[in-house]
Amino acid sequence: MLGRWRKYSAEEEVAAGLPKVFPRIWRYAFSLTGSRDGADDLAQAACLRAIEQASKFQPGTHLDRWMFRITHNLWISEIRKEKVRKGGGMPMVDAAEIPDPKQDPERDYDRQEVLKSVLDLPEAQRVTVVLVYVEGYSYKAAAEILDIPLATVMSRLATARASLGRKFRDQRGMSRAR
Amino acid sequence: MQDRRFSDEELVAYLDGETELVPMAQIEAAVQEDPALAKRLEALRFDVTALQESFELLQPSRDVLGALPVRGRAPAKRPMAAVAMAACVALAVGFGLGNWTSGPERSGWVGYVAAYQALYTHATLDHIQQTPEQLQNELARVSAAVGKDIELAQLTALPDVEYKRGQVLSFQGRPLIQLAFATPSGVPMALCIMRREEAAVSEEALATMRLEGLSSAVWSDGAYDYVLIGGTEDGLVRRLGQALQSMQI
Repeated sequence: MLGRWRKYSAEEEVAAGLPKVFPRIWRYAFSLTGSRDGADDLAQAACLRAIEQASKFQPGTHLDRWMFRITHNLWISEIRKEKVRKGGGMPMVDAAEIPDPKQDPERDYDRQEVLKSVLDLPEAQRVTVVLVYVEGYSYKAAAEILDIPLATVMSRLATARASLGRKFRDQRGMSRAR
Repeated sequence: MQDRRFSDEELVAYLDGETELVPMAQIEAAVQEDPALAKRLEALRFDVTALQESFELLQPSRDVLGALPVRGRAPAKRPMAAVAMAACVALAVGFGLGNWTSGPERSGWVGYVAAYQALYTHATLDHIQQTPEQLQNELARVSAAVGKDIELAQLTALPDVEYKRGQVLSFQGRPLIQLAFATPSGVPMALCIMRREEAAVSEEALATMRLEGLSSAVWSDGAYDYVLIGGTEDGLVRRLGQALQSMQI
Protein backbone atom coordinates (compact mmCIF):
# COMPACT_ATOMS: atom_id res chain seq x y z
CA MET A 1 0.00 0.00 0.00
CA LEU A 2 2.74 2.38 0.94
CA GLY A 3 4.50 1.62 -2.35
CA ARG A 4 1.35 2.39 -4.21
CA TRP A 5 0.84 5.65 -2.38
CA ARG A 6 4.42 6.70 -3.10
CA LYS A 7 4.10 5.93 -6.75
CA TYR A 8 0.94 7.92 -7.07
CA SER A 9 2.45 10.79 -5.20
CA ALA A 10 5.44 10.90 -7.58
CA GLU A 11 3.10 10.91 -10.53
CA GLU A 12 1.08 13.72 -9.04
CA GLU A 13 4.15 15.75 -8.31
CA VAL A 14 5.38 15.38 -11.88
CA ALA A 15 1.97 16.29 -13.28
CA ALA A 16 1.64 19.31 -11.06
CA GLY A 17 5.15 20.58 -11.76
CA LEU A 18 5.31 20.10 -15.52
CA PRO A 19 3.48 23.26 -16.60
CA LYS A 20 5.86 25.47 -14.69
CA VAL A 21 8.99 23.78 -16.01
CA PHE A 22 7.71 23.51 -19.56
CA PRO A 23 8.79 26.95 -20.88
CA ARG A 24 12.33 26.33 -19.61
CA ILE A 25 12.42 22.86 -21.15
CA TRP A 26 11.17 24.28 -24.42
CA ARG A 27 13.87 26.95 -24.38
CA TYR A 28 16.50 24.31 -23.71
CA ALA A 29 15.03 22.16 -26.47
CA PHE A 30 15.32 25.12 -28.82
CA SER A 31 18.98 25.55 -27.98
CA LEU A 32 19.54 21.86 -28.77
CA THR A 33 17.48 21.54 -31.93
CA GLY A 34 17.89 25.06 -33.29
CA SER A 35 14.33 25.37 -34.51
CA ARG A 36 10.89 26.02 -33.13
CA ASP A 37 9.49 22.82 -34.61
CA GLY A 38 12.36 20.83 -33.21
CA ALA A 39 11.82 22.44 -29.82
CA ASP A 40 8.10 21.63 -29.93
CA ASP A 41 8.79 17.98 -30.72
CA LEU A 42 11.60 17.52 -28.25
CA ALA A 43 9.84 19.33 -25.39
CA GLN A 44 6.70 17.35 -26.04
CA ALA A 45 8.58 14.06 -26.22
CA ALA A 46 10.27 14.96 -22.94
CA CYS A 47 6.88 15.56 -21.35
CA LEU A 48 5.66 12.20 -22.53
CA ARG A 49 8.78 10.51 -21.24
CA ALA A 50 8.44 12.26 -17.89
CA ILE A 51 4.89 11.03 -17.52
CA GLU A 52 5.86 7.50 -18.53
CA GLN A 53 8.65 7.47 -16.00
CA ALA A 54 6.92 9.51 -13.32
CA SER A 55 7.07 6.64 -10.86
CA LYS A 56 10.88 6.86 -11.02
CA PHE A 57 10.86 10.46 -9.90
CA GLN A 58 11.79 10.91 -6.25
CA PRO A 59 9.18 13.19 -4.70
CA GLY A 60 10.73 16.14 -2.99
CA THR A 61 13.78 16.31 -5.29
CA HIS A 62 14.29 18.82 -8.09
CA LEU A 63 11.73 18.20 -10.81
CA ASP A 64 13.36 20.77 -13.08
CA ARG A 65 16.75 19.02 -13.03
CA TRP A 66 15.08 15.69 -13.65
CA MET A 67 13.23 17.17 -16.64
CA PHE A 68 16.37 18.73 -18.05
CA ARG A 69 18.12 15.37 -17.74
CA ILE A 70 15.26 13.61 -19.52
CA THR A 71 15.29 16.20 -22.29
CA HIS A 72 19.02 15.92 -22.74
CA ASN A 73 19.04 12.13 -22.72
CA LEU A 74 16.23 12.02 -25.23
CA TRP A 75 18.15 14.36 -27.48
CA ILE A 76 21.38 12.38 -27.21
CA SER A 77 19.93 8.90 -27.42
CA GLU A 78 17.27 9.23 -30.02
CA ILE A 79 16.44 12.43 -31.72
CA ARG A 80 19.88 13.74 -32.53
CA LYS A 81 20.90 10.35 -33.82
CA GLU A 82 17.95 10.35 -36.14
CA LYS A 83 18.53 13.91 -37.28
CA VAL A 84 22.15 13.18 -38.06
CA ARG A 85 21.23 9.99 -39.84
CA LYS A 86 18.65 11.72 -42.00
CA GLY A 87 20.42 14.98 -42.60
CA GLY A 88 23.93 13.64 -42.84
CA GLY A 89 25.31 16.17 -40.38
CA MET A 90 24.81 17.94 -37.12
CA PRO A 91 21.79 20.17 -36.91
CA MET A 92 22.57 23.83 -37.29
CA VAL A 93 20.76 26.61 -35.58
CA ASP A 94 18.69 28.51 -38.08
CA ALA A 95 18.93 32.22 -37.41
CA ALA A 96 15.60 32.76 -39.14
CA GLU A 97 13.97 30.90 -36.27
CA ILE A 98 14.90 33.58 -33.80
CA PRO A 99 11.97 35.93 -33.22
CA ASP A 100 12.01 39.31 -34.94
CA PRO A 101 12.51 42.44 -32.91
CA LYS A 102 9.22 44.12 -32.18
CA GLN A 103 8.69 46.19 -29.10
CA ASP A 104 12.07 47.74 -28.52
CA PRO A 105 13.94 47.24 -31.78
CA GLU A 106 17.33 48.44 -30.63
CA ARG A 107 17.37 46.47 -27.43
CA ASP A 108 15.94 43.41 -29.11
CA TYR A 109 18.51 43.65 -31.84
CA ASP A 110 21.25 43.48 -29.23
CA ARG A 111 19.58 40.56 -27.56
CA GLN A 112 19.27 38.75 -30.86
CA GLU A 113 22.96 39.21 -31.52
CA VAL A 114 23.79 37.79 -28.09
CA LEU A 115 21.42 34.91 -28.57
CA LYS A 116 22.88 34.11 -31.97
CA SER A 117 26.40 34.01 -30.67
CA VAL A 118 25.39 31.54 -27.95
CA LEU A 119 23.47 29.41 -30.41
CA ASP A 120 26.51 29.42 -32.69
CA LEU A 121 28.66 27.76 -30.06
CA PRO A 122 29.46 24.07 -30.56
CA GLU A 123 26.76 21.94 -28.95
CA ALA A 124 28.77 20.78 -25.96
CA GLN A 125 29.63 24.36 -24.99
CA ARG A 126 26.18 25.65 -25.85
CA VAL A 127 24.28 23.28 -23.56
CA THR A 128 26.64 23.94 -20.69
CA VAL A 129 26.38 27.71 -21.12
CA VAL A 130 22.59 27.52 -21.20
CA LEU A 131 22.37 25.39 -18.06
CA VAL A 132 24.83 27.47 -16.04
CA TYR A 133 24.22 31.02 -17.27
CA VAL A 134 20.63 30.99 -18.46
CA GLU A 135 19.15 28.45 -16.08
CA GLY A 136 21.45 29.38 -13.22
CA TYR A 137 22.59 25.89 -12.26
CA SER A 138 25.77 25.35 -10.28
CA TYR A 139 28.61 23.55 -12.05
CA LYS A 140 27.79 20.47 -10.02
CA ALA A 141 24.10 20.47 -10.95
CA ALA A 142 24.98 21.02 -14.64
CA ALA A 143 27.45 18.13 -14.51
CA GLU A 144 24.73 15.89 -13.12
CA ILE A 145 22.17 16.93 -15.71
CA LEU A 146 24.63 16.37 -18.56
CA ASP A 147 26.16 13.31 -16.92
CA ILE A 148 29.71 14.58 -17.40
CA PRO A 149 32.59 15.22 -14.96
CA LEU A 150 32.82 18.56 -13.21
CA ALA A 151 36.16 19.22 -14.93
CA THR A 152 34.42 18.94 -18.30
CA VAL A 153 31.88 21.57 -17.28
CA MET A 154 34.75 23.84 -16.29
CA SER A 155 36.66 23.43 -19.51
CA ARG A 156 33.57 23.89 -21.67
CA LEU A 157 32.68 27.11 -19.88
CA ALA A 158 36.25 28.41 -20.10
CA THR A 159 36.30 27.82 -23.84
CA ALA A 160 32.85 29.32 -24.30
CA ARG A 161 33.66 32.37 -22.19
CA ALA A 162 36.81 33.01 -24.18
CA SER A 163 34.88 33.15 -27.44
CA LEU A 164 31.81 34.95 -26.08
CA GLY A 165 34.03 37.45 -24.28
CA ARG A 166 35.74 38.27 -27.59
CA LYS A 167 32.43 38.72 -29.39
CA PHE A 168 30.70 40.81 -26.78
CA ARG A 169 33.63 42.97 -25.89
CA ASP A 170 33.02 45.81 -28.27
CA GLN A 171 29.32 45.35 -28.68
CA ARG A 172 28.05 46.60 -25.37
CA GLY A 173 29.41 48.26 -22.29
CA MET A 174 31.08 45.87 -19.94
CA SER A 175 29.30 47.40 -16.96
CA ARG A 176 27.36 44.26 -16.17
CA ALA A 177 30.06 41.79 -17.13
CA ARG A 178 31.04 39.14 -14.64
CA MET B 1 51.33 30.73 -3.81
CA GLN B 2 51.02 34.09 -5.55
CA ASP B 3 53.16 32.93 -8.41
CA ARG B 4 50.96 29.97 -8.98
CA ARG B 5 49.57 29.92 -12.47
CA PHE B 6 45.80 29.71 -12.57
CA SER B 7 44.13 28.00 -15.49
CA ASP B 8 41.32 29.59 -17.52
CA GLU B 9 39.01 27.01 -15.98
CA GLU B 10 39.87 28.23 -12.52
CA LEU B 11 39.51 31.87 -13.49
CA VAL B 12 36.08 31.21 -14.99
CA ALA B 13 34.97 29.30 -11.89
CA TYR B 14 36.20 32.29 -9.89
CA LEU B 15 34.08 34.65 -12.02
CA ASP B 16 31.10 32.36 -11.55
CA GLY B 17 31.52 32.32 -7.79
CA GLU B 18 32.10 28.59 -7.53
CA THR B 19 33.65 28.90 -4.10
CA GLU B 20 33.93 25.19 -3.49
CA LEU B 21 35.94 24.57 -6.61
CA VAL B 22 38.62 27.25 -6.56
CA PRO B 23 40.62 29.21 -3.95
CA MET B 24 38.74 32.49 -4.33
CA ALA B 25 40.90 34.56 -1.97
CA GLN B 26 44.12 33.40 -3.60
CA ILE B 27 42.90 34.24 -7.06
CA GLU B 28 41.67 37.61 -5.93
CA ALA B 29 45.02 38.42 -4.35
CA ALA B 30 46.93 37.19 -7.38
CA VAL B 31 44.83 39.34 -9.72
CA GLN B 32 45.59 42.43 -7.64
CA GLU B 33 49.31 41.89 -7.98
CA ASP B 34 49.66 40.48 -11.44
CA PRO B 35 48.52 42.72 -14.36
CA ALA B 36 48.91 39.89 -16.85
CA LEU B 37 46.59 37.70 -14.81
CA ALA B 38 44.13 40.59 -14.48
CA LYS B 39 44.15 40.96 -18.24
CA ARG B 40 43.47 37.28 -18.75
CA LEU B 41 40.59 37.53 -16.30
CA GLU B 42 39.13 40.50 -18.18
CA ALA B 43 39.25 38.56 -21.42
CA LEU B 44 37.04 35.90 -19.91
CA ARG B 45 34.34 38.26 -18.65
CA PHE B 46 31.11 38.74 -20.47
CA ASP B 47 27.66 40.13 -19.80
CA VAL B 48 25.78 37.25 -18.24
CA THR B 49 22.67 39.38 -17.69
CA ALA B 50 22.51 40.22 -21.39
CA LEU B 51 22.77 36.51 -22.12
CA GLN B 52 19.91 35.72 -19.76
CA GLU B 53 17.80 38.47 -21.27
CA SER B 54 18.52 37.25 -24.77
CA PHE B 55 16.97 33.89 -23.94
CA GLU B 56 13.74 35.61 -22.99
CA LEU B 57 13.22 35.95 -26.74
CA LEU B 58 12.68 32.22 -26.85
CA GLN B 59 9.10 31.49 -25.85
CA PRO B 60 6.89 28.61 -26.95
CA SER B 61 4.53 29.78 -29.69
CA ARG B 62 0.93 30.48 -29.01
CA ASP B 63 -0.31 29.09 -32.30
CA VAL B 64 1.55 25.85 -32.89
CA LEU B 65 -1.44 23.83 -31.84
CA GLY B 66 -2.45 23.11 -35.41
CA ALA B 67 0.79 21.20 -35.89
CA LEU B 68 0.16 19.03 -32.89
CA PRO B 69 -2.05 15.98 -32.60
CA VAL B 70 -3.97 17.40 -29.67
CA ARG B 71 -7.48 16.85 -30.84
CA GLY B 72 -10.93 16.32 -29.53
CA ARG B 73 -12.39 19.06 -27.49
CA ALA B 74 -9.34 21.23 -27.25
CA PRO B 75 -10.10 24.69 -28.60
CA ALA B 76 -7.94 25.33 -31.64
CA LYS B 77 -6.50 28.65 -30.54
CA ARG B 78 -5.28 27.76 -27.09
CA PRO B 79 -1.58 27.94 -26.42
CA MET B 80 0.08 24.69 -27.26
CA ALA B 81 1.77 24.45 -23.90
CA ALA B 82 -1.44 24.92 -21.99
CA VAL B 83 -3.28 22.30 -23.99
CA ALA B 84 -0.45 19.79 -23.94
CA MET B 85 -0.11 20.37 -20.24
CA ALA B 86 -3.80 20.04 -19.59
CA ALA B 87 -3.66 16.68 -21.33
CA CYS B 88 -0.51 15.72 -19.45
CA VAL B 89 -1.99 16.60 -16.11
CA ALA B 90 -5.25 14.90 -16.89
CA LEU B 91 -3.66 11.66 -17.94
CA ALA B 92 -1.07 11.64 -15.22
CA VAL B 93 -3.65 11.85 -12.50
CA GLY B 94 -5.78 9.39 -14.35
CA PHE B 95 -8.99 10.85 -15.64
CA GLY B 96 -10.09 11.04 -19.23
CA LEU B 97 -10.72 14.09 -21.32
CA GLY B 98 -12.79 12.33 -23.92
CA ASN B 99 -16.43 13.03 -24.51
CA TRP B 100 -17.73 9.51 -24.85
CA THR B 101 -19.87 6.90 -23.21
CA SER B 102 -18.62 3.60 -21.89
CA GLY B 103 -18.90 1.45 -18.81
CA PRO B 104 -17.78 3.35 -15.73
CA GLU B 105 -15.46 0.56 -14.59
CA ARG B 106 -13.12 1.04 -17.48
CA SER B 107 -13.75 4.67 -18.31
CA GLY B 108 -10.83 5.84 -16.20
CA TRP B 109 -8.10 3.88 -17.85
CA VAL B 110 -9.53 4.14 -21.35
CA GLY B 111 -9.65 7.91 -20.96
CA TYR B 112 -6.09 7.84 -19.76
CA VAL B 113 -4.99 5.85 -22.78
CA ALA B 114 -6.85 8.18 -25.13
CA ALA B 115 -5.46 11.37 -23.65
CA TYR B 116 -2.02 9.82 -23.73
CA GLN B 117 -2.25 8.71 -27.33
CA ALA B 118 -3.45 12.17 -28.33
CA LEU B 119 -0.05 13.50 -27.35
CA TYR B 120 1.79 11.28 -29.78
CA THR B 121 3.12 12.85 -32.95
CA HIS B 122 4.48 11.17 -36.04
CA ALA B 123 7.91 11.92 -34.66
CA THR B 124 7.29 10.02 -31.44
CA LEU B 125 7.81 6.66 -33.10
CA ASP B 126 9.85 7.75 -36.10
CA HIS B 127 13.20 7.32 -34.49
CA ILE B 128 12.57 3.90 -33.01
CA GLN B 129 14.35 1.15 -34.90
CA GLN B 130 14.78 -2.11 -33.06
CA THR B 131 15.99 -5.49 -34.23
CA PRO B 132 13.51 -8.39 -34.05
CA GLU B 133 15.52 -9.77 -31.15
CA GLN B 134 15.28 -6.51 -29.22
CA LEU B 135 11.58 -6.31 -29.95
CA GLN B 136 11.08 -9.88 -28.78
CA ASN B 137 12.97 -9.36 -25.52
CA GLU B 138 11.17 -6.13 -24.84
CA LEU B 139 7.82 -7.71 -25.59
CA ALA B 140 8.48 -10.65 -23.26
CA ARG B 141 9.31 -8.26 -20.42
CA VAL B 142 6.44 -5.90 -21.12
CA SER B 143 3.72 -8.51 -21.59
CA ALA B 144 4.81 -10.29 -18.40
CA ALA B 145 3.95 -7.09 -16.52
CA VAL B 146 0.26 -7.85 -17.03
CA GLY B 147 0.68 -11.62 -16.85
CA LYS B 148 0.62 -12.27 -20.57
CA ASP B 149 2.98 -13.98 -22.97
CA ILE B 150 2.55 -12.26 -26.31
CA GLU B 151 4.48 -13.52 -29.32
CA LEU B 152 6.22 -11.01 -31.57
CA ALA B 153 4.92 -12.94 -34.58
CA GLN B 154 1.35 -12.11 -33.54
CA LEU B 155 2.11 -8.42 -33.72
CA THR B 156 4.21 -8.44 -36.86
CA ALA B 157 1.53 -10.47 -38.64
CA LEU B 158 -0.91 -7.56 -38.51
CA PRO B 159 -1.56 -6.03 -41.92
CA ASP B 160 -1.08 -2.31 -42.64
CA VAL B 161 0.86 -1.45 -39.50
CA GLU B 162 4.41 -1.95 -38.29
CA TYR B 163 5.05 -2.93 -34.69
CA LYS B 164 7.48 -0.47 -33.10
CA ARG B 165 7.73 -0.69 -29.34
CA GLY B 166 6.26 -2.04 -26.13
CA GLN B 167 6.28 -0.32 -22.78
CA VAL B 168 4.75 -0.57 -19.37
CA LEU B 169 2.77 2.41 -18.14
CA SER B 170 0.82 2.63 -14.98
CA PHE B 171 -2.67 3.72 -14.16
CA GLN B 172 -3.46 4.35 -10.51
CA GLY B 173 -0.60 2.13 -9.50
CA ARG B 174 -1.65 -0.77 -11.73
CA PRO B 175 0.39 -1.83 -14.74
CA LEU B 176 -0.90 -1.14 -18.19
CA ILE B 177 0.99 -2.13 -21.30
CA GLN B 178 1.18 -0.11 -24.47
CA LEU B 179 2.22 -1.76 -27.74
CA ALA B 180 2.93 0.91 -30.33
CA PHE B 181 2.51 0.59 -34.07
CA ALA B 182 2.91 2.95 -36.99
CA THR B 183 1.00 3.01 -40.24
CA PRO B 184 3.00 3.27 -43.50
CA SER B 185 2.46 7.04 -43.45
CA GLY B 186 3.77 7.21 -39.88
CA VAL B 187 0.54 7.63 -37.94
CA PRO B 188 1.08 6.30 -34.41
CA MET B 189 -1.31 3.70 -33.11
CA ALA B 190 -1.34 1.85 -29.81
CA LEU B 191 -2.78 -1.34 -28.42
CA CYS B 192 -3.19 -0.97 -24.68
CA ILE B 193 -3.96 -3.90 -22.42
CA MET B 194 -4.90 -3.87 -18.77
CA ARG B 195 -5.86 -6.79 -16.58
CA ARG B 196 -9.23 -6.48 -14.90
CA GLU B 197 -9.18 -6.29 -11.14
CA GLU B 198 -11.99 -8.81 -11.08
CA ALA B 199 -12.50 -11.09 -14.03
CA ALA B 200 -15.95 -10.84 -15.54
CA VAL B 201 -17.93 -13.80 -16.70
CA SER B 202 -18.52 -12.72 -20.25
CA GLU B 203 -16.60 -11.12 -23.03
CA GLU B 204 -17.47 -7.68 -24.28
CA ALA B 205 -17.97 -7.26 -27.97
CA LEU B 206 -15.73 -4.92 -29.86
CA ALA B 207 -17.07 -1.38 -29.98
CA THR B 208 -15.62 1.39 -32.09
CA MET B 209 -15.71 5.07 -31.28
CA ARG B 210 -13.73 8.28 -31.40
CA LEU B 211 -11.76 9.08 -28.27
CA GLU B 212 -9.92 12.39 -28.15
CA GLY B 213 -10.78 12.58 -31.83
CA LEU B 214 -8.85 9.37 -32.51
CA SER B 215 -10.30 6.18 -34.02
CA SER B 216 -10.63 3.61 -31.26
CA ALA B 217 -11.74 0.05 -30.73
CA VAL B 218 -12.50 -1.24 -27.23
CA TRP B 219 -13.19 -4.82 -26.20
CA SER B 220 -12.68 -7.29 -23.39
CA ASP B 221 -12.18 -11.02 -23.05
CA GLY B 222 -13.41 -11.02 -19.48
CA ALA B 223 -9.95 -11.12 -17.92
CA TYR B 224 -8.39 -8.21 -19.81
CA ASP B 225 -9.56 -4.94 -21.28
CA TYR B 226 -8.19 -3.85 -24.64
CA VAL B 227 -8.07 -0.52 -26.44
CA LEU B 228 -6.68 0.02 -29.91
CA ILE B 229 -6.37 3.71 -30.69
CA GLY B 230 -4.74 6.03 -33.19
CA GLY B 231 -5.24 7.98 -36.38
CA THR B 232 -8.59 8.76 -37.90
CA GLU B 233 -9.16 5.73 -40.12
CA ASP B 234 -12.12 4.16 -38.38
CA GLY B 235 -12.23 1.22 -40.80
CA LEU B 236 -8.58 0.34 -40.29
CA VAL B 237 -8.88 0.44 -36.52
CA ARG B 238 -11.99 -1.72 -36.61
CA ARG B 239 -10.29 -4.26 -38.88
CA LEU B 240 -7.15 -4.42 -36.78
CA GLY B 241 -9.18 -4.61 -33.58
CA GLN B 242 -11.14 -7.54 -34.95
CA ALA B 243 -7.92 -9.27 -36.04
CA LEU B 244 -6.38 -8.81 -32.58
CA GLN B 245 -9.54 -9.99 -30.87
CA SER B 246 -9.76 -13.11 -33.01
CA MET B 247 -6.15 -14.07 -32.37
CA GLN B 248 -6.87 -13.79 -28.63
CA ILE B 249 -3.71 -11.90 -28.03
